[in-house]
Amino acid sequence: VKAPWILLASLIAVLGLLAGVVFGLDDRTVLVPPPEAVVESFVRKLEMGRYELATDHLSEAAKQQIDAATLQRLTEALEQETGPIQDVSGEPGTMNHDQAQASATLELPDQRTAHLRFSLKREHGLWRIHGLGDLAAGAAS
Amino acid sequence: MRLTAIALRALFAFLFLLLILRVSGKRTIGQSTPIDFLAALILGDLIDDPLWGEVSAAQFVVAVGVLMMAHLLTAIGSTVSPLVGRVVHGVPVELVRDGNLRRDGMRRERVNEQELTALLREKAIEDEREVRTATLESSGKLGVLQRNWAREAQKQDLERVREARQ
Repeated sequence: VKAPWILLASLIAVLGLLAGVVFGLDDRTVLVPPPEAVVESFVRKLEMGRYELATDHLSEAAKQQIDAATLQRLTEALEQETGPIQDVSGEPGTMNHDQAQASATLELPDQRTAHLRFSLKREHGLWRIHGLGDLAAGAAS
Repeated sequence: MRLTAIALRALFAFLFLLLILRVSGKRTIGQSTPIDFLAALILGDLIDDPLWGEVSAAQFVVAVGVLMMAHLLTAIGSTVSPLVGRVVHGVPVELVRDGNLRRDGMRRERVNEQELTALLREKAIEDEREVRTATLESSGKLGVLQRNWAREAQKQDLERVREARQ
């Protein structure tokens, strides 16, 4: 039975190729989720109340300071100010080697919108949220 | 989101899935058994996330890889062991034998008479009395063998008639 070994070898080869592209060619937006996708996913999880899962998007340093309870408190404070979030879309911002900024546009009741900016940092090839920016400041613009 | 990134991700996902399907065999595409169908179903859902950059390509590769490996090992297991085969694929169930409906099989597979008649019509059979056996296979398709008198005449039948006349 050769097929499982061929499949396993193919998978390892593809993962090796990906590692080469991400780390060797410094891919930051194609084969890894770009900063705006990370921010969008993060805010969607907050909006759905999945705070524990949202912490997966935080950088190692941010995880030391921010836990699920903190995210819940900040999200509830935000929604008290803006009203319930109806939809979220990520918007690209600036990118400088391993640092980036991206924002999330929130769709709110009465066709209002608000923007939340986040700073991100690249860890192990993936973008992670390093600073909660507007969310922590309670200042959706 | 940049269009070139989406195009590159789509190209990567297409080439990777093509490679995986070629390596793991033709069964998955055929969807001939429950595990093939299941693999195709999950695969169809997984493609969405890397395309929009929601997960990294590496996460996609690992998810697809584990799924296809499980599919392949299950398929091998069911080939090697009849017991595993029965558990994974189920057993074919006879719905008609010698022109008579098998009510027990129909109840087991929750097929009513109208549905069975429709399935037989798809095989160009109007009357269940024409059927020697009709079996609901593991794939969910109906396998039908007709009784000799109901089968369309073949070339060899003509030869038999000729021989009988001589």
